[in-house]
Amino acid sequence: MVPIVVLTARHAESEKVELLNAGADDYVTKPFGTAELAARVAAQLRRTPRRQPDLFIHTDGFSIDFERRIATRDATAIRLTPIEWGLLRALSADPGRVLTHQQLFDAVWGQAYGDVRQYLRVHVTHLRRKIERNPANPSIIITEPGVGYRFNATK
Amino acid sequence: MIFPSHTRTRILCAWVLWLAMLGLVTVFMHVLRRDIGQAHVVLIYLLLVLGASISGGRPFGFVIAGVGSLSIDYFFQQPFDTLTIGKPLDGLVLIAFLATAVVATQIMALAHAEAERATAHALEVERLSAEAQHAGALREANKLKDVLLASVSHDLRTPLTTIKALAQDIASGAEGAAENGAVIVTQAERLGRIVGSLLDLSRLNSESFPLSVEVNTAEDLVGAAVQQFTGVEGASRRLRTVIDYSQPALVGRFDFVQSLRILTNLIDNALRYSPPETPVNITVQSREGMLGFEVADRGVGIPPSERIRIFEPFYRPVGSRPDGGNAGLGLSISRRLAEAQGGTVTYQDGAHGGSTFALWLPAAEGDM
Repeated sequence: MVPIVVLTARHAESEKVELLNAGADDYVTKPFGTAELAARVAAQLRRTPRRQPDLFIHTDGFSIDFERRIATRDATAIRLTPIEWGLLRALSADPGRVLTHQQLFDAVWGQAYGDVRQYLRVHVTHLRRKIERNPANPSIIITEPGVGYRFNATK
Repeated sequence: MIFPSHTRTRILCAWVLWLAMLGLVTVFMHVLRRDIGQAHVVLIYLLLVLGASISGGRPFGFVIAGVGSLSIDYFFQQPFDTLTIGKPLDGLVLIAFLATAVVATQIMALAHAEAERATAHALEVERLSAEAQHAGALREANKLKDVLLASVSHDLRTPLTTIKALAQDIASGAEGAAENGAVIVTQAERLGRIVGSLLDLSRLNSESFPLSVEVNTAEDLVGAAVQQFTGVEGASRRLRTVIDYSQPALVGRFDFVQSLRILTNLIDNALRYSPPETPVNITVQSREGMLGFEVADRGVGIPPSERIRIFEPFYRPVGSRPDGGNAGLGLSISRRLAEAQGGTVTYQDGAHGGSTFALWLPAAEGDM
């Protein structure tokens, strides 16, 4: 599978969302720096071929063990709701990739629930309060304004 | 006077109605004429004249008055059923009746005309004031356009001059192309920002600004705003977010991307216009159905005389460098963006000196 980075002159968030929903992996908007474009392409190439999602993730003092369903922050166990597990699962399946609100919603709730995407942001906020060191300056779940969220596992 | 057809029909109806009334009343009183006095007859005819002149106007009033006086003479003054006037007093009654009827009709007609004039006048005043308002708005828009052009030509020319000079250097093969190139990139970015701001301002003025208002949490917005300053020198040390995590998450209904621009702009101003290394506090509160995002710095604050002007387009703080990198559009765009979402941006003196700017956005109802 070839990763897709879209280079676009369109700035509107709705258009970025459409692109990502249509299957793009990342986007760069004009005006862009060549270094940024190169870095984003390189990041996508690193992730190819898609590997199986990790069952164990450790980032910045936060660990998830999906097999045993245990999450810890600095060695302290965290209680997560089923929806929060779902969010973590969907986001961490592909670290660094932007998931649109729609993609996340579909992954966690399924399409049958209709459009209650607004709850998604509230659940992400609750999840951050449990797993982030500083929920008001998150380092694990990053907001892509107007587009969606990205799981950051680089640290 | 030419009446529209429906007015003509109405007047015709009035004539028919009042003439019929006159006939009816005359027949009725004729039956009773041995038992009623002349005064009764005269008074009842006067009432008819008044009614007729109200609904049919002056000519009709006169006609009823004339017919009435003839009827009085013919039917109700002795000798009955002749136009002969028996007693001199009867003649006086007739003359008094005619005079009263004519004067009353005249007064009615004058009052009616006066009322019509007043209505027309009120309509005219209304129309004129609407026109004046429109003209005021146009003048305002025109003034803005003049200010815009003056500022734009200056703001665009400054970076363009730099870019042109440096590009000429590079074209002539002079040394330092890399440094020149870096400056050109910075200046081009600045031009891009100014053009973007101008576009936003013009779109906000024409009220065609697309917004996607959704349920969002305050923390998400604050976090995304702080994120914007990652890598900005000294910013992460200075920015302090104070959020009470023991309280439920504050939820609002706003456009995330545009609100992020506003908050980022407020934080950027706070960092820019307060001394290096002083903290900039970001707090969120919920009050009266609104979420207030406060950005407080420890700068010099804003003098009272300037406070109204800071939200005007192209405002720059007194004594700031004319090419400080922004076109003075940030706060005016911010406030308009907030207003478009049902909120606003306000200023107040900070508790520790300095300025506190607050972005107010509608809170969302219900617990989630």
